[in-house]
Amino acid sequence: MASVLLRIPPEAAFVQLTRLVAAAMARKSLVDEPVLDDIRLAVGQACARAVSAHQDQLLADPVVVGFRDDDTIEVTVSDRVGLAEAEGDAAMEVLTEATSAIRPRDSRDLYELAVPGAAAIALIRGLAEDLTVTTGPTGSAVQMRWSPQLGGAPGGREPSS
Amino acid sequence: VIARQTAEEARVDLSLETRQEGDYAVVELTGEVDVYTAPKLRECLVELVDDGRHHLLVDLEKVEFLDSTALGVLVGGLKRVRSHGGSMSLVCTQDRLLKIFRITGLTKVFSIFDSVDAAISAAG
Repeated sequence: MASVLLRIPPEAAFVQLTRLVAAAMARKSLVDEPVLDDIRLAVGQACARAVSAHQDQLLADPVVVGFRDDDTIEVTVSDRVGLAEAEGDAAMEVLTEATSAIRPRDSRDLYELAVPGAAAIALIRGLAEDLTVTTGPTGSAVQMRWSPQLGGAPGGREPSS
Repeated sequence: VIARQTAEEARVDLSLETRQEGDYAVVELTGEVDVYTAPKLRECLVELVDDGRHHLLVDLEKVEFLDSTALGVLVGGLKRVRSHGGSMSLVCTQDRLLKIFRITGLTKVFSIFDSVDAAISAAG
């Protein structure tokens, strides 16, 4: 089992680092390339959301990203933005609403630079094989899991078009 | 060809190159478009629209990574050109990127083509 814990400043430049670690964990677990892409994107997306949330609230606290490689690859992204206390589907709703409200503070017409809430959450939900979200007054945690032995579920949650 | 890559853009792992093909400004992206680099793309799209170029093709064939922030910038660009009676299409054949557009429902918003030529022909 391997584990990595990153505490990144809430700056966009550090999100790439979390993707690199996610890819390294996935490669070590010998997951297929499409699943590796899913893990890398989902982790980067969850971290981008958390960093944007900290910036929106002017929080200097680090975003904490925990990686664990056991029977499953588990990645937990924790922020310090206080929200209503909730678990499961209710927490997902709280997080989606909060993410959709994020706007850059130092901009005039930069609305599209905020992590678009619906798209961000849709990607995290669509790419993680298993997802647990908790929200609360001291912050939120997005826990994503993949089972390498099952080969992941690339595309398994894509909406039909 | 107008080279838009600057030293700063090189450092942030995204380069943008624009060229004119007929009525269309083609924006070719190379590298990663994420929460850090997406402002460069936004700046480029805004400049093009401000220059009066309202028909855009964004070529994603050399993009290695793209997240929801990039999607937001692309949607912002689409809104901007449409407000001037223009259009914006994408060129992408990479499955991993197309999957992102499918998951977020944006395949219904953007016209996505296999090549720049195909996009221009379709606009005909």
